[in-house]
Amino acid sequence: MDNPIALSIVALSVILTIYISYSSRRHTRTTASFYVAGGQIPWKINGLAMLGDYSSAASFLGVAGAIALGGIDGWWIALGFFGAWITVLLVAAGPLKRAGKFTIADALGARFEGRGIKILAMISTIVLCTLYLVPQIVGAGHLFKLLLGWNFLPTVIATGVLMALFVILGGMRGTTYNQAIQGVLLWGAMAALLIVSSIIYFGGNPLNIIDASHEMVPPSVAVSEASAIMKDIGTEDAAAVIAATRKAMPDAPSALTPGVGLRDIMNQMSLVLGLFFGVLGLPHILIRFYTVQDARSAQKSTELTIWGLGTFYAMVLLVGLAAMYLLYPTIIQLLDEGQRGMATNMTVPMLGQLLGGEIFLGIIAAGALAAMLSTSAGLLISATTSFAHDLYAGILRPDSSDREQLLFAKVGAGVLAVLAIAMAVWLKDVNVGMLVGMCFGIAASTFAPALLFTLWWRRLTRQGIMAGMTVGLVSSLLFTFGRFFGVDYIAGIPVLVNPALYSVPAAVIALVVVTFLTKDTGKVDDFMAVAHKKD
Amino acid sequence: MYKKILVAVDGYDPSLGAAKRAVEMAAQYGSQVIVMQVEEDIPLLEVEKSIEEASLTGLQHKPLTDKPLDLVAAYGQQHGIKIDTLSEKGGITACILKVSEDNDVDLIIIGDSGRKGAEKWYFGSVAQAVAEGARSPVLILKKGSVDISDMPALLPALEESAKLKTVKPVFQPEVFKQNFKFSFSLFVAFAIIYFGAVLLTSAPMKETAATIIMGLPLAIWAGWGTLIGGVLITRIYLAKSI
Repeated sequence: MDNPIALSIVALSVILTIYISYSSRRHTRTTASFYVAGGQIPWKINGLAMLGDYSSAASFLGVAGAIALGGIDGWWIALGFFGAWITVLLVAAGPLKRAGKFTIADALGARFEGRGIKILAMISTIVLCTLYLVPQIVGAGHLFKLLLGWNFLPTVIATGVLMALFVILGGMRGTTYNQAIQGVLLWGAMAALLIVSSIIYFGGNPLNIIDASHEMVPPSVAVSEASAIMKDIGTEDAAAVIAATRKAMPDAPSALTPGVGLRDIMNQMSLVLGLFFGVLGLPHILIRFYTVQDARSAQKSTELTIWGLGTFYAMVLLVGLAAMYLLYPTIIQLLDEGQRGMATNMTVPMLGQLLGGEIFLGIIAAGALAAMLSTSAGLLISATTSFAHDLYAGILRPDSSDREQLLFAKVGAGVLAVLAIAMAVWLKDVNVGMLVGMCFGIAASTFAPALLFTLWWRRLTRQGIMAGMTVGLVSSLLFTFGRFFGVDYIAGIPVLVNPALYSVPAAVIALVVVTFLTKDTGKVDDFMAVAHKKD
Repeated sequence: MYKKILVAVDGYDPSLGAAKRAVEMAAQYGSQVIVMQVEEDIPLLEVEKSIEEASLTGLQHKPLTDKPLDLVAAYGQQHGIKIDTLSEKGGITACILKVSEDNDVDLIIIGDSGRKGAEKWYFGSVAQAVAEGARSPVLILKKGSVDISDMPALLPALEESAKLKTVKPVFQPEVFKQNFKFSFSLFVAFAIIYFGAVLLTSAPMKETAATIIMGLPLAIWAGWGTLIGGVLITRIYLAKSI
């Protein structure tokens, strides 16, 4: 065991999480005193919980890692997450709230009854849940590899199985208070990384990090040159390695040069498009939006969240660049040894270790793990519900008993988890932010157009939705897996970092064209009457 | 013998059994029956509650009805017993105890969910907590101890009358248009900022993006501009929409 203190902090935080989610529940049911805690969620807690829901492992670990390896391009993963949240707020939150629907399946079902859309929604849910689990498991695998010093393969299998068991056995529910704590922890850790690194290494001014970045050649570009240089001058002095690398590569891009990580404009557009519309396809993110009772509180909590997110994503750029600077030799070494996944996903914990030793590492690891566990729990629970209600009870065996449905659902969730673990082993070297970005791309091609048009287009037909979702799902999966298998072209079309540039327009075109050819607009008047009533 | 009986119901079988027993006792002793339901007022989201139910109980046992007070009132009427119904909001046990004291009841009847193991530990037993906290006698009916097979027959009539009561909202085109204009003008404004910044920081524009303005490259201003623009547009949306 390499890091006993950090591991203890992680274990304590997991125990605390379980304790909070269990004890708060029991307390409110059985306590005899009338005036105890309970009642509505205070706006501050709600705002922080929204922040915790959203600042996942991808935001926390993936973005800073992508920046530390490839420079400023990685920031667009963060800006995309940020933009996606605002998109959902502006075009979906209002009508969804008025209609009282907080999941996509519910919203679609409120306008269109019948099996076809349900089946497509179920398939998309299960595909998205599985693929979204992969980055959580990749992240957790690397994290425990860093903490325990084991090899990746046994670590990822062990952590993946433990996470799945934890969830399938019904162990973990993301309660509001836990999400709020997670939000504070992740935001606070990001701020602490920025402040401490600025004070110790950059003369107390965070903007000096940007000045230092002009000189750096991003590690993903400099790996062969820099590792040769390190053989001569050693790995102790990061600044010396950076200076020598720049001297050897005077014309190379700097950490602030756009286009290093993403090669060209097509890739850039595809990524940002997928991110921009992706969360529309996962609106469970916004279930907390209007839960505080009065309007003023709802406004205050949403405002707290947007400020939290804005500052978080502004800080992550500086932290990523600081990590590139301070961990330069380490990152080069990891890349040179072929440990890309470790380099790109563990920059934040490694920076924490450098700045604050095992305690800081432990706090960061605890925050990251909490984020992964709560996301995985949410995903597996959605998948389980979909298996039980939509697949088994809805299609396979309508006369089944509840107990049979539950068993089927748990076995199904187990199979998904195994599949996700296998994919995590396969995709271990991919940045978790990029993996999440791909899921966003698939969501942006399936649920996002379906939801957006259901909420705003009266002419939309059942067949239109089905055509759009089918085309979007097939094309996005084709290009996602093309990317995973390292294929350069599919039918003469270049494979990009994200499927969205092709699959989103394809889905929208299919949806619109088929809609104009068909007539079944569902219960459009009933639905629009509630979704667009006066508040 | 018993003048005032309080029953707490939640739509699940054991609690309905408790209500049935209360009706039987009222017929025998001429007691007044109060049936109450508590909407749990806890710091959990609706979705969290439903996830919790789905993962623990919902898939195994569904409630017989989501309007237990109406069902019990109808059942009482069928048997010639007038029932006072009461809907409360708060902590379950605390509400039951408060109502029992406020009304000075001399018997509380409550169903036991029959939860076992981890589930019982997690949820805690309301029956047990009420028995511990109450001043009046408490009758706890075990799951399955009262046959309630005559109750479901009342449900279709209840659903019919509930359907008649609901008023259908009417689609208002002008509200739709107003919402559309508001949402999409802000959305387009934000999309212009976002995709503008994307283009500015893409590979073909890298020379422009590297231009130093006030000590920082334009690429960083573009990103910060997106963040600030997003916060401002969110604030406009919140100020107008809520």
